[in-house]
Amino acid sequence: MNLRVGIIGVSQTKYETNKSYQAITDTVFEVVQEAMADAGVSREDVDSIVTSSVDLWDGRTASNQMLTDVVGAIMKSESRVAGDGLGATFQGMMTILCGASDLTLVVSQCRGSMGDPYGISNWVFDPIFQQPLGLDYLSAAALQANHYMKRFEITQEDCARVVVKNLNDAQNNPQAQVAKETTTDDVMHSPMWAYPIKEMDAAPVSDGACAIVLASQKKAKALSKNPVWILGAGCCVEAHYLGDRDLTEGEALAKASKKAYEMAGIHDPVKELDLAEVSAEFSYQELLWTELMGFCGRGNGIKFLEQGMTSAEGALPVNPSGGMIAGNPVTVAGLTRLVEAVLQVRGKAEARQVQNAKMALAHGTTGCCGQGQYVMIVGN
Amino acid sequence: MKKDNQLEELLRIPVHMKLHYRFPAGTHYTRFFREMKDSGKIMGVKCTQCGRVLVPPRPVCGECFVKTGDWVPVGPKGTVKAYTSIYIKFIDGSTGKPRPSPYGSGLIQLDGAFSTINHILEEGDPEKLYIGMRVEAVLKEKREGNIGDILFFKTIT
Repeated sequence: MNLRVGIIGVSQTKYETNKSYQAITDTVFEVVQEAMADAGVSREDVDSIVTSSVDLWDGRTASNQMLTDVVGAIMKSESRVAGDGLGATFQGMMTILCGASDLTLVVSQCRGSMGDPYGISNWVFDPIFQQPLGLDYLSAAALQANHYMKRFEITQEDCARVVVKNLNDAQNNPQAQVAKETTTDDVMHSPMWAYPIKEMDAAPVSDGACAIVLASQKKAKALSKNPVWILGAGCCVEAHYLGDRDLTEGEALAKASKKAYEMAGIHDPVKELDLAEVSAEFSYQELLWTELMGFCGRGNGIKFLEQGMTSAEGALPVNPSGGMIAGNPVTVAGLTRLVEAVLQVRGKAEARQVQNAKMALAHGTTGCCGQGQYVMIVGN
Repeated sequence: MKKDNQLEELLRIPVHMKLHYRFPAGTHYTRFFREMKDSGKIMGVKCTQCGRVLVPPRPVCGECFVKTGDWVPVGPKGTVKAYTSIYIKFIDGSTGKPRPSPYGSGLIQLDGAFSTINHILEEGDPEKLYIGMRVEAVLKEKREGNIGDILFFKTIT
């Protein structure tokens, strides 16, 4: 059995409102070639491919089939995760850990511009009890936001501070879709979408893709001078039905992060991690997720932010890239977080580089209100 | 018998899914449909490495994993490589009505192309259809820039 899995190549597109100037195949071929070039490998070296995409976003069934040519999968093993790109990375990691593959390509793509995001997310829900009532990711998240904010006395202004931090930091990220000097007033004056979530509290919907090359320990050492290692990984899933969950709790994320910390030998994430890239589609989620990952106590996410702990120069910078608020290629987002984490520990994150970053956390989520949770720790 | 009664008693709730998409055609599909609409030409694209002419044209040759190169006209004549006759009433996506059956459905290799394309065959009788049969694309007069611009493939001798 292989001991460790290395990440030896990464690539991401710029995140944009509409990439219709390119076919999906063009976009994916570009990131795949870039990730392979970054790893110094060619298609012949790749043993297996894991893709991530979601049929309802792609407007066809088994939609990974349109990617076979451009991910180099012809006459190779390809499997697909119908969910977040970080989930696909877990599957890619497993192909290596079980000895089935020495070099695995993981690719995720989404075109948010193809369909109606709310219409699509409406179909995530139970078709008998929830879908006919118009529930979608936004309205479900608003229920969670309000419950969380009432329980811990978090204000809308508090959540607006998350947006301010992310959009300001995103100015250092050339891949960001939204990046600008922002004030809490700007956020507070943006149109109300679903109380208490306003337009600027929500991530945009983006087009984009990511690709990474995973390698067995032996292969990573042979091919790369400075592979980034997956030091810890945990995933966990909650009940799908919202009515069976306390939305202010999040045991899945607490468990997934605890497992990842244990594997990586982390006792105090704030002291030992150098940064975290977190999948928060709405501003309140960044606060909630940081609490559940043990960066601070329950209800203290906002205090942690106000103390500057999560700012780019803080003790544990959260989303120096701007996070999903700056760009949200819906089902790719977790892989984007991982690519950012890898660039950081390589010291290649350019203007958004966190000083002396050695160990980083990447977080991904799938389903609504953080039903499925993935946490990965990467380091040198 | 008991099972049938149970089925009648239990609800079966109708669910309708209605979603709309705008599929980004990219440069290759766009040029393919524009050429067919404007000049009635069916175009393929040649791989720079293996030289195969791919139809529909696409940006990447999956076998060689390289970008494709020059555009070349193919057809309109071609050869039937596989066929079937459809007897069940199948709804025609472009009209929403059942297509008169039986009708022929085939994989046609257009002259000059490596890959075959799916399309409707004028000949619907399985006794008269054969592999290697020569056919020719019949195009619509008022073309719209979609796959329906080819009406069907007629039999030629």
